[in-house]
Formats: sequence, structure tokens, C-alpha cells
Amino acid sequence: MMQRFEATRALTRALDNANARARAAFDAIPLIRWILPLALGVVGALSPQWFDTRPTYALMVLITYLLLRTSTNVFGLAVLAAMLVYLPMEMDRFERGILFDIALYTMLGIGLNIVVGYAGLLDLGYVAFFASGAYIFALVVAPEAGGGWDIGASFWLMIPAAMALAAALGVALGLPVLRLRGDYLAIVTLGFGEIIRLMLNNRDDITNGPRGVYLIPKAHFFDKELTGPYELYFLVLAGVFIAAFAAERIRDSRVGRAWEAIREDEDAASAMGVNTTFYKLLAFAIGAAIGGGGGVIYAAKQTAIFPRDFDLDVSINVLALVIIGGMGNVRGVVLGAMLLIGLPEVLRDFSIEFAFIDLANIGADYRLVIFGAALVAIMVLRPEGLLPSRRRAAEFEQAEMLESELAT
Amino acid sequence: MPPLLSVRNVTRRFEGLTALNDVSMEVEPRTIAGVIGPNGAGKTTLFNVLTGFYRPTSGEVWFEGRRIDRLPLHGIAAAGISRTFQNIRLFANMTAIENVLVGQHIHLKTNFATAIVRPPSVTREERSAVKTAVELLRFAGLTRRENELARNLAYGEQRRLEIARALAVRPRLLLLDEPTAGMNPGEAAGMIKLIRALRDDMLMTIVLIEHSMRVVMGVCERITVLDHGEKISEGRPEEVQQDRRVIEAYLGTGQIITDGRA
Repeated sequence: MMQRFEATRALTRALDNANARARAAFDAIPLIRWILPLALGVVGALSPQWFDTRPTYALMVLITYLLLRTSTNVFGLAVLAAMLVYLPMEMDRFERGILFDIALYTMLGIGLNIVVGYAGLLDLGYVAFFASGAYIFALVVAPEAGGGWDIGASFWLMIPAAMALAAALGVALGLPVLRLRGDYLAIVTLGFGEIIRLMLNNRDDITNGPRGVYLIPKAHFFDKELTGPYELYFLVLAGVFIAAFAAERIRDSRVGRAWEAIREDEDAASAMGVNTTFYKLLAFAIGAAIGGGGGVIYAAKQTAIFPRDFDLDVSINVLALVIIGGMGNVRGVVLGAMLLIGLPEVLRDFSIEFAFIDLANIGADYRLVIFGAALVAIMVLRPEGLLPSRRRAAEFEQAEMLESELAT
Repeated sequence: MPPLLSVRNVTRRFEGLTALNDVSMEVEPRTIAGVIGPNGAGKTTLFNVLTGFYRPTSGEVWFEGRRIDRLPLHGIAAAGISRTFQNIRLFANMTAIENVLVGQHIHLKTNFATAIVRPPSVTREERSAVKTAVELLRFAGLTRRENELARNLAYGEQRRLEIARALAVRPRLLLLDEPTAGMNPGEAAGMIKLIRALRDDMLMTIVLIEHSMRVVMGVCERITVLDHGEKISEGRPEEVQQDRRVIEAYLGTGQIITDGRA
């Protein structure tokens, strides 16, 4: 009995050591940091047939990771911007679609990160705001829905209008759940997301039910019609940059400090005069506004939206990418979106043909298995996420310290 | 001069338990008042009533001629009262200076819109807030610990950081809940010096809860003694010290001792 216990302990220790070593390697080995992206770049340049989705994607992720991790200077941002603008020019329609999704989810992630990462309010119904933005826009402009106002330039007015309405919805959700914390809050927000989706599905008279809203008119940028993912990608990209800029500035201000204080110790924050009710609602409102803005762009790109586009998966995916990327950090969100949204798509046509091994359909058949394994690996190696905020990293360190103290 | 703080017949019940029973006390401006009593006497409950954490079941609390017992929790700081906690409650994963900056919350004006646009006024405000925070940390004896995470500070430093954070609220009344709890004699002496400096240099009015008799007798001008939720004595330290009821509350009555049940 005792021996078995000892064996378990030894195994735990061995696993801990392996874990620590792997993490150190991830951080320290120059191979991962510099040589791999360089090699990929060289290979990509030398053999045009290699310059397809996967190496491009891998390169993009690595460059982004390195830039976000190491620098905040103008040069780094310029390289990033150049890459984000240049890459889609070389891409086909399928790849541009992936890129659009990555950018859109980055924007949603930035919004949710304000609620979850900054203010510490676990929201599992974030899709509600995304859906409301999309539907508010669609119902106003689509002829089928009885709206059908000629929008033209007013597409640009619809974005702030939908954001404001989504923010109001955020406050409406926030008010009844303010007193809830942790798990309870998560469950209620989960229900809220479902309520919105079911309303879209069942209120035929307003939303056209499961048949959806279609023939949503194209947006225009001056005289240019914004069709397809390519043009709208740039719109989302602008949204991402604005949202990221706003989120980081708010975080580094009195408002961001108030959120952090609430997350750390709500009662102590109140005792310092922080109106916790107001700041929680503010977090919900700002997060919801960003989600609503994303919804408008999504509706404009799809030109037809359905209630089933807004199911629980969206909330879960956005939350997962925030966690994978590193909670509390906008940069982490960017990386999280690239991996979580990009990886399953890129794995679609993945196949191995090498010597005697011919696994032509490994990607098509097992892409979600590979994807899931990758997520598990990331969470095991870096539970705090790939690019956590300084504070999140500290919290995880604290938790580990407590655990090891309890273990001994 | 009218009292700064006046507690009028405050009773607080929890289910069947009466934690405070008809307690009244007054605190004059620029004095250091102490609340003492054995474990479970209702000291912390009294603090929690004063700071809005609990509403009194009956009775009133007045501060600067204004009734404060119905204010929301965050309204107490705005009214001019600030506190520390018995079991230190810092924002553990924020740095020392960030803790003090949160303390200045009600005196800063930046909202989310100006935070995004960041006009010169916001930059100025932030700069002067940081300067104030550094000064407060120096006053509390935390020079060069500004960028340390609160949870990495030594125990005594954490206590002093809590005071610096409470001072950042710019209170007219400071409530200290067992400021020397768990300290060694050296640290406790430093804390007593700090508390005196608060009154003498910052013209602060202070109410403190203490277990350590030496601290209370040494630093307080007036003492209120609670036992089983009731005020059993009040007055200058030497008066309270000789009060028969206080001695009984702390040491038990003669009969019990002779009963051999103590």
C-alpha cells in the first residue's frame, strides 16, 4: 500500500520535472524562436509548390508570436501590419476566408477578454452580443425582413448604432447577474446566450426564424462595394486594431485598475470607493459593444444569417482562444485566434506521403483529433496561456506555489 | 467641537445571535480611539457596520453631521472613511504602487472614453497620482518597494501597504483593524510610531481595534471596551484599566477562578 503511494508520488514528481523541462525548452531553445521560422521562410521561398496554405500559416503564426512576444516598437508593428496586408493578396478565396475568420474571432476575443480577463467575470454567453449586432444590422437593412432601408453610406452608421444597442443588452444582462460570482455567473450567462439564440429561432414574426435573414445588402466604402471576405477582412482588421488599442489604453488607466481590483478582491475594492456595480456593467457594456461591432461585419460578409450561426460553439471558441492565448492580454488573444480558428481549417487538407507511409486523408479524418491534442498540449505545457499578461502569469505562479506547499 | 463620528444605539443581529447590542460611542477629531474586547466581543462587527459592510439592525451612524449607515459600500470612502482589514486584503497580484493608485480611485476623473483618447489632462492626472502614491509609500516606509507585487512583500510591509492604500483615499477618519496583529515587537513598535505620525503629521482621526493591551494603552487616548456585543466600559486608558468589569471580561470573575473552572 505504502509502496504504491510512493510510486505514485515518484511518477508525479517525474511528470512535474518533465513538464518544467518542456516549458523551459519552449522558452529558451533558439531553434523554436528563430531557426524554425527562418527555415520555413527559406523553404517557402525556394520551392513555390511549398508556398501553400500550411507553411504560410505556420510562418504567419510564428512571426506573429515572435513579434507580439518580444517587441512593442514601431518596427515590429510595421512588420506585422505589412504581413497582414500582404498575405491576403497572395491567397486564394478559401485562405482569405480563414484569415477573415481569424481576424473576426480576434476582435471577439478582445471584447470577451475585457469581461473575463480584465474584470474577471466569466461570461459563457458572449455569442449573444455577436448575434445581436448581426441581427440588428440585418433586420434594419435586409428587404426580406421588412426593414430594407437603402443604407449606402449609412452602413457606417449602423456599426456604432449596433454597438450601442449591444452595449445596452450587455447592461441588461449585467444588471440581474451582478451579485453572482464565478460558476453561478457562468451558468446564468450561458443561459442568456441560449435565450437570445432561441428567440432568434422562434420569434418568426421578427427574425424570420430558422429561415434566417438573407439578401443583406453589400456595404460600400465610398464607391467601392465591399464584397467577399477579402475587402471585409480589412474592415475587421481595422476593428481589431481599434479594439486592441482601446482595450490596452483602458487597461492601463484608472478604469483598468478598478477592474483588476474587483477581480483581486471585490470587497476591498469597494472599501476603496470603487463602485463595483458600475465597473462590472461597464466591462459587460464595452465587451458587448465590441462583439456587436463584430456581428455587423459578419452579417455584411455573409449576406445571410441564421440563428444556428450563433450557437454555444461561438462562445466556447472565443473563450477558449482567450484562455489559450493568455488571459488578460490582447496579444495573447491574437495568437489564440490564429491557432484556435486557423488550425482546424489548415489541417483540412493535411496529408502525409513519405516512403511507405501514405496517409492521404489524415487531415480530413483526424483534423479535430490533432487539433484537440494540440490544445491539450498547450494547456499542459503552458497553463497560463501562450502570452499571458504579467499579472496572469503571477497568479498562476502563486497557485502553483500553494499547490506545492500543500503537497509537501 | 462636535464629535467627528457618532455611533448611536447600534444593534446588529445575525439570525439568533446579537453581535452588537445598543452600542454607542463618539470619536473626537484628531484623536486616536481604541476598541478592545475579548474574542467575539463584536469589535470587527462594529467596524463592518461603520464601513458599510453590514447595515445595523437598528441604530444610526453619523459622520461629520451626515448619516452614513445607509450608504452603499463604495459610498463610505467618498464620505471620508477608510479602513484596513484584520486579515490583510491587498490586491495581491498588483504592485505596491498600483494598490495605492486604486486607493486614489475616487479622486481621479479618468473614465473609459478619456482613457482611450488620453488627452493631456489624463496624462497629467496619472503622473500626479503616481507621484502621490510614491510619497505615500515613502511615508509608510516602503521606499523602493513600489514595483513589487503586494503578495511578495514581507508581512509587516503588507500591513503598512494596507495603511498607505487606505491613506490614498484621503480619509478624515481611518479605521485600523488590528494593525499590529502577528507582528514581532520590533515591527509593532514601528507600527505604533506610524500611527502616531498619522495623527500628528497628517492630522488624521483614528479608530483602531487591538488585541495587544500594550499597543492600546500606549497609543490610544480614549478606549471603548466591548464584551458579548455590549459596551461595558469607556474612558481614558488608565480609567479603563482599573474598571472592574473590564478586568472581569478579560480574566474572568473571582468566583469562576475559585470554582476551578477557569
